[in-house]
Amino acid sequence: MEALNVSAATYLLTTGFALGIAGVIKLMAAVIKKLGLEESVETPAEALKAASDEKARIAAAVAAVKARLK
Amino acid sequence: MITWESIAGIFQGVGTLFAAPPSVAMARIGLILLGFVLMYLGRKGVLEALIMIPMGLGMATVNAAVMFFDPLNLHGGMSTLFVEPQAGATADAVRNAGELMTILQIDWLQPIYTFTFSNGLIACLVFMGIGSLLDIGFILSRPFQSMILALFAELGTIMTLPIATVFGFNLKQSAAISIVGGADGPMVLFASLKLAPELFVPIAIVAYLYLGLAYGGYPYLIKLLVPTRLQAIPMVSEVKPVQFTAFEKLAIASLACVLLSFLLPVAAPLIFSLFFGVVIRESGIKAFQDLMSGPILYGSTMFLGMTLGILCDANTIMDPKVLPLLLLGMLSLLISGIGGLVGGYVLYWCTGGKVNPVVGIAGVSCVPTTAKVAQKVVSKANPQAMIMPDALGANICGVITTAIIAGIFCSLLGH
Repeated sequence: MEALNVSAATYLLTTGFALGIAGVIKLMAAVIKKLGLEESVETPAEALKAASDEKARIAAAVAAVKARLK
Repeated sequence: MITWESIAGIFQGVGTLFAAPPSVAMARIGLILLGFVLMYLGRKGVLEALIMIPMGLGMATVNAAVMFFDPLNLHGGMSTLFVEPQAGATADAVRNAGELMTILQIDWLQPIYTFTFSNGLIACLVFMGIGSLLDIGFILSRPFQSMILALFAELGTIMTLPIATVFGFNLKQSAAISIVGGADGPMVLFASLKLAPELFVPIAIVAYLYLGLAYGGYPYLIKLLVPTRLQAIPMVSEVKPVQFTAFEKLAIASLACVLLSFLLPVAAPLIFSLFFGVVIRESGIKAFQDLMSGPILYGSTMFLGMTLGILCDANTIMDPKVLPLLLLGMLSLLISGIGGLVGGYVLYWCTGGKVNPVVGIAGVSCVPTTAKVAQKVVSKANPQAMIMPDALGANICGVITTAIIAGIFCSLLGH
């Protein structure tokens, strides 16, 4: 009987805690979304300046334009 | 003069077969055959090849390679040179240390078992690898659905506690055994150390055998309980999940890691390992991500499978301390699997048929085994159906619910 009581109490407590944690995760995700942590997107000019050779300069500029268009 | 004894002394694998009690000899032969069957099923793609091929060969070989040598006198004079999981299982700490040092110098896989298995390191390494492949955006979209599935999949843990007391175990021992139903090795080991240290070694053996059971048995359980028509449901949500940038995912993973470690220190090593992988993925450190998702993940999976097979040694499995725990562990996992699928059905009915019931099996927190098993079964029924993201969400919530239960058991019974 004691074992059954322990089992039932454990399951009830677990359900409460688990749903609470799910709520906190949901809330945390919503808050962070609200804060709007955007990726830092460099300008094509900055990308061109940072790239070392010609091939890399073209690739970096194209990537930067694509990122800004997203 | 060549006698039967001298031949048995030369070819000891065969000699020990005749010298052992018939039940152990039969178990050895049965386990050798089972090892070959697992390898065959792994090769055919019926079971997970990554685990089953090393496990099958390990199981077959360890049961063949028994010799007249038992340095700790644990198995009636017969043992192997592979691993001795029961080394250091006495109540005397000094004697334990001596036994362990002796065995570490004899058994070639003992260092892997002692330094990566019994402390949960190997599970943490697997978690890091999984984390580095995991997109937490899917989990963040539906935390309640994942948590409900995980709660249903804890049914085995909850029901095994009273069942184990019927087998004659006291309440603390029963609680320690029942945690096997959560299918989370490190958590099982922790609960056992806190609640029933006298059962630590046999529980440690059972705690990792669950992986093999889950890989082997769960696909059949799913096929038995879920008709093919329902297995094929693609799980496409009508509501578009919220999109998170890599920076947002990194921030959420870091916060979730610290928050969950605050709440559940018992699960902190696993939680840290998983979120560490996620953070590395989202922070774009390509070299680390490649290391984690390649060598670390596959290296630890290989040793996990091999050591699991080698633990399936007839002497260990037929040990009177291990056998009842193995049976209770299997029962617990069976009930948890059924519970998870019931949870899947509940969500299927509540959402008007939009949730594939198979995803429920992933509530059993055997990360990522059950998620992979679920996806594999679903892919066979409908190659277009993708339930992996939802399954991984349920998997991770399973770790959380198991940690909560372990914490509650330790608080209620640990004094």
